Amino acid sequence: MAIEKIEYDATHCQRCSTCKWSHLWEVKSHRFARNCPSLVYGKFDTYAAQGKNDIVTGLLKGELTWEDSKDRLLEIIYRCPVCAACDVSCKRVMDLDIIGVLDALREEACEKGHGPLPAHREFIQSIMNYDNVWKQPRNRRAGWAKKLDIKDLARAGETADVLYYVGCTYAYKPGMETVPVNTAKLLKAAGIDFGILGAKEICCGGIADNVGDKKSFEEIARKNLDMFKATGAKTIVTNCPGCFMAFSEKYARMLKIDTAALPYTVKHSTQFIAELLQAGKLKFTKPLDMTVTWHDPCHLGRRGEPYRHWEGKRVKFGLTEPPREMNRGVSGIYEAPRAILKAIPGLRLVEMERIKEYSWCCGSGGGAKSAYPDFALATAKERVEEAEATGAGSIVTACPWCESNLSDGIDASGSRLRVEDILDLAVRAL
Amino acid sequence: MAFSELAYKALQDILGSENISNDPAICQAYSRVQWLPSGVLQRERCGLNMRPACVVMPGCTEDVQRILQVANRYKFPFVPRGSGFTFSAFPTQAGTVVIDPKRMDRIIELNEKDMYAVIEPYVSFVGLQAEAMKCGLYTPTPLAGSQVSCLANYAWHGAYGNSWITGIGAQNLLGFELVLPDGEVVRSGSMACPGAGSFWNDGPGPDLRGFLRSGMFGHAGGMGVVTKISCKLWPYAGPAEFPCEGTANMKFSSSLGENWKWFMIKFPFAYPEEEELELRKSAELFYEMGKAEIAEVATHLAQQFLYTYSSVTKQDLFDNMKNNVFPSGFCVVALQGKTSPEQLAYEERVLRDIVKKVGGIFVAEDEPAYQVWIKRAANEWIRFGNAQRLSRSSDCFSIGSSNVDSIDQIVYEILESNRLGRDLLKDEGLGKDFVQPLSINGGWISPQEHGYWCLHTTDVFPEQAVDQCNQAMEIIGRVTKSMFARKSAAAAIHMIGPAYDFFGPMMGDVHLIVKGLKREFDPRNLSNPGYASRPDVVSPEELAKMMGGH
Amino acid sequence: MAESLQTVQELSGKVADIAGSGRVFTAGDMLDKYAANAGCSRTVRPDIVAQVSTREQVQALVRLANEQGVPVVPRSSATGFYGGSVPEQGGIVIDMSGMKKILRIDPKNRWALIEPGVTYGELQAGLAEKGLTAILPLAPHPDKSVITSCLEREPKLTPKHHLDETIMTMELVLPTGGFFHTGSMAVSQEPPEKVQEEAHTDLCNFMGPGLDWFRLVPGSLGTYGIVTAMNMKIGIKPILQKLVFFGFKSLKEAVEPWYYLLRKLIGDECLLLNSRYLALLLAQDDGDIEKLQAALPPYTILLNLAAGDYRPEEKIAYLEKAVQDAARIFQLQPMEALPHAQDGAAALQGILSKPWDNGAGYWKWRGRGASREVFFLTQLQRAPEFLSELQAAAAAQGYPLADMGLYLQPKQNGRAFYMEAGFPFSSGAPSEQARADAVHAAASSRLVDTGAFFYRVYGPWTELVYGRTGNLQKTLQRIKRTLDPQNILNPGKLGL
Repeated sequence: MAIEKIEYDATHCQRCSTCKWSHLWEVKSHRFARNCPSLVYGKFDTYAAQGKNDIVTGLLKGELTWEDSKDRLLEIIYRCPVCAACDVSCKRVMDLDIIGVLDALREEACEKGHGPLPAHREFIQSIMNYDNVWKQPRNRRAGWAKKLDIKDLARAGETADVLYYVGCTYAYKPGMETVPVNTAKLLKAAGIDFGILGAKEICCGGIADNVGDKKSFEEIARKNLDMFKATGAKTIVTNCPGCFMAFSEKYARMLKIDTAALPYTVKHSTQFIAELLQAGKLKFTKPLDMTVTWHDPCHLGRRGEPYRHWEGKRVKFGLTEPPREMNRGVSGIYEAPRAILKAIPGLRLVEMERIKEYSWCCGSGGGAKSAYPDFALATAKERVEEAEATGAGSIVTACPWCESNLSDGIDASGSRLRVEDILDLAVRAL
Repeated sequence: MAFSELAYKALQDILGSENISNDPAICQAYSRVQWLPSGVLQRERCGLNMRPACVVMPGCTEDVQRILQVANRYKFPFVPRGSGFTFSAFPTQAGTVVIDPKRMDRIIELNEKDMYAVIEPYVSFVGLQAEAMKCGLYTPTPLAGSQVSCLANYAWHGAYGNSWITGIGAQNLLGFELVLPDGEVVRSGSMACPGAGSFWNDGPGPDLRGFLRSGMFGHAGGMGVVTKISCKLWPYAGPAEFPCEGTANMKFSSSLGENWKWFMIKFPFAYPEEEELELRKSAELFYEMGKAEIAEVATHLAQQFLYTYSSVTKQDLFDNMKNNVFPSGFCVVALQGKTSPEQLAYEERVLRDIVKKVGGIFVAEDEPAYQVWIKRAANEWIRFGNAQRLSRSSDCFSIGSSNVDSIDQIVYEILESNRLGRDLLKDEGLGKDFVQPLSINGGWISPQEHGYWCLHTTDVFPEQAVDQCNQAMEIIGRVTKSMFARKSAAAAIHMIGPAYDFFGPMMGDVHLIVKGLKREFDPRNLSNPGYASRPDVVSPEELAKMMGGH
Repeated sequence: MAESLQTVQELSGKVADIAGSGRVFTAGDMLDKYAANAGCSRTVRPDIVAQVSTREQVQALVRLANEQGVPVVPRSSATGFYGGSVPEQGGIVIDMSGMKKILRIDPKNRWALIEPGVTYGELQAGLAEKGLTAILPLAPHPDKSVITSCLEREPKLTPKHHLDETIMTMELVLPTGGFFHTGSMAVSQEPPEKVQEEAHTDLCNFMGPGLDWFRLVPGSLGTYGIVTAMNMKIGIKPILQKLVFFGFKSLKEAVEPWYYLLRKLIGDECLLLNSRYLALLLAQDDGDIEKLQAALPPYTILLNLAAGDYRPEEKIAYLEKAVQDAARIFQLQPMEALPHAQDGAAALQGILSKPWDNGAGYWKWRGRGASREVFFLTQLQRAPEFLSELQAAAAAQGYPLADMGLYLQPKQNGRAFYMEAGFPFSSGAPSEQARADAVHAAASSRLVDTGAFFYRVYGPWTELVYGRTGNLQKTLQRIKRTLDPQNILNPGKLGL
């Protein structure tokens, strides 16, 4: 059983409820003190990490079976953006692999044939059929790049220092093509030698892994790894935090190596642009008179930490042998986007209460938006309210799923906020 | 008695289907307490009976009343809870309904001038703390961590980092609203009087807090469901808000600003050989500080707390132990300049006078103990109590002994329980598999209200294995037996649940009084039946066996 | 089954067997003395008065009362004010005011263990030689028992949080006649003064067992148990003290500055008196009262800056600076002396540190002989509103406002305020008494309606308060039923 590998973590949950609250250091108000979208929406403790730990314990001990409650179990497992806010909070006091528990439950659901959910299967099937999650023709994947004169690294003989990987959503979703277009502009302006895979680019496969379909994920991942190798690029830059996390964390995990040992370096576009600013290769000269707030995407922040491979066991007192360095949300990408925003003249950045690795999830990750749109919308509306409380006119982020779901949340709330992609702002300031 | 479908439908009609569930997967999350050996054993003993028949979520006091009325009609037991942390918040028999207060999470009033707040059951300390600090006030923060329910903590038991000033949970509760087991509502304090507000507690007439609470503990939901309380807030001269230092500053905790100063004090004795001298000198320090009426925090922390609370990771904790970062216990003192900078400076001078007088030594800022405790944990001790990090070492722990009395008696009790713990380890191997030496080096002295009284707990740290939990219970039983044999004040506080029947006759037949009240208010024994004087979990015979026939 | 005694004489015989024949009264002036209290109009004679001197006698009498189904009314003070010890249904008054032992003093843990009849004067005398002091209310009557004062929840002069609840452990005689030890005294059933000889306790845990008796018994007017011993917190006498006064033309003006002073924890004893009450306290002779009253500010905050052993001058210095800072912020004029009150500060220091001892009677009755008081708890910001109600009630009855006394006492650093209005009247003038009673009734009714919190429930306040508090009285009755199945202890009080 997939859940056997995290038995210690689940069964040693102290039921202290730390996982249900924003990191205690960082709570700034009663209103915005909660951290778990699943729990806020579902209300019963079961939807929190603590509840999921109890589910695992119940399944392992035979107190609970899939037959008892399959539909509810699937809801508990999948109506969750796997944002890891619970994991960060829990690790303040314990050393349990909470995100591992959530992942293992999904893997277990798939192993048993109960998961993933139909909406997820659609995505995965789309990847298998079309190499993208949107059931769109392959040949339109690089439509955004027409007339932009960008190297096609899928062509034999074509090489570049940097592979710019666009991702399915930025490539295909109407209205979002500005992001790759603007990214390309910024890279060119900085004189970066880069190329794309064009129509040959395929989905990162992250979504399959997110929902527990490890087999499909591995199939997709290995294809990508072969393609990356063929390009010769040492650095992959991507806009989508989901893809970023896939290449950085998930692929390393699959290969059972550290992120640092991967044959490439992967950077999120905000990281890369921030480095270019720092190096003086980019400069913002046009002021933007705006007050904005920054939304930290989960897969860029607390889930964007490099993977550190560990094989070992728990020994006495729950110590690990060999010692295990757990991710605690510390080394996600938080400062790079802020550096970009702060570098834009005239732009005022006001922070929400729940930021950085304590950020409130937009609600769309982990397959939640496709399978539970009401939940995703409610979660987004919570974030919109938090953004409004800052007095900002715009909520800026760097994730297509966040942008999409937050836009939906804004519309549903009747809010006057706008959602902006950070690189769109960056180009306007060039 | 099985939980009937009719009862379920009645509850569903009251609450709406989205606020009730009997799904096994939902109920599973309300079935387990793992951090305590007694919880582990409770689980072993009660098994699936700990899974509620259903979970209900009232949204207001009237909902709670109706739930309890249905309970009385269909005769099912119910368990109220706050965040559901402690061992009494779980069913012990089939057919029990758990009342989850999650929808009742409002801070109804926060009165800055008169220093109190009115809150519902699911308000956590951390949320209340954030709001209070904006107004120059703050709440005590429980060692269990500020993520727990403030209301439940005050109605049950809480000890705090700043208990030197605030006392324990009992002292922080003002008025309350209680739904009695039969569904009737009673309010106490000024909350009971229309138009009087919620600022005060006693009366009218007798103070019903004396009925709601007892000794260290309340009735654990055995006398109904508390649906609202007013609680004290305290003057605070620190920052109204703290910057987000995330990326989880793992090494240092946010400063409380220029109006707070921390000190660690040690004594020149070998530990543990001269433990008694160290503890007695610490006691002397606190007595003098009490007379001088200085300080906001004054406490002696033993290695148990020092290592666990300051740890950043489990490995860090064990590394620190290996490196002997805390070679002994230390006294920790915080001064708060609530009146003025001159007051802060004055108190520091007095503290230095006292420390010199009693032969203490200030720990230098570059010493490992200071760096690890003061820099990492001290301010958290005030802001939110460090959460459940006490469990970190073995992912389980238990209070091994506890007492409430004078500072001197607390020192006595610590010495006795440490001595007994060490003897049991040496002679019988009890606790050999526990985290050592943490499990035999207790010594948390927590003087209360400027040293007029004092609290301590010493803990043991077994793993979450049945055999070790049994050992932990054996140790606790022996310690308790020793308390009674020595006629220690500690015996007076261990009155909860099955202990009533066993110890009651020694204490003026108090068990008969409590049982009588239980019968009066809950004749059907529906309100958390396991924990208000009914021996459902541990029978008097078993308890007697644990006590060795005392 | 015990033989049922039909006559008072038969019963008094049994009582005399317990208390001693010279200590039992069944007729005449003695019964009248126990039928009345100074501060209330109602009189009800007991059937028997027993003056006891030991805890065993108390227990035996309660057991006798249970056997016979006869009410018992405990009394610890030689004087009563609000009718708490006046019977509602006859019965036996157990007068413990002769139980005057200071059983033990623990200077290190700062408590004193005493019997019910010990007065503040007696306690202070016992503590003074050790450099200690009782936690005092304002100038208590010299006959007032300390235990009575604690059980009645008289406010203390100090607003310090940790000195608001001063009761530690107690020995009770339960309504069913058993001894019961509360808190850490519970680990031994020996008499209270012997507990520490056989048990490891310093009697410092006041909580439990079973219930928090230290909260349930106070305010119960002896209906839940009889206290035969109690240890309570005491303080250390300051080395250095200095009184500072702030005068105000109206109560409203005092509100913000006082909140500030208390929030900043400036000073120790702290109270507000109107000119009437301050004059009553300060006047050397009764004849000086009016003149002094006219010279004093209408409202005065008295703030005592006190320091102990450690750097006392430095402490007073920082407190004085804090006072100056407060004065600057609120444009106050702190005074170290009072107009027309020679040595007023020194006199007040004396008054604040002991029971009333300036001649016969009591300061609240000076110049008149008797008084009615209305008292309750409030938030300071509402005090002016309640003062208006009091004044309106007085004016409506033609009561001279200049005679009305006012006392405000912060509790727990200003979290709540005790507010008391006194209406003195000539004790020999039935019409004045009637007017004072009418003011008392009208003011009480109006105040309860507007949200004053009557936390102590005496006489006519019973119906007034409990008529509005939902199930509270019923809950108290249910507790009473459990503790006192035969309804022996002070039945009728609180409507129980």
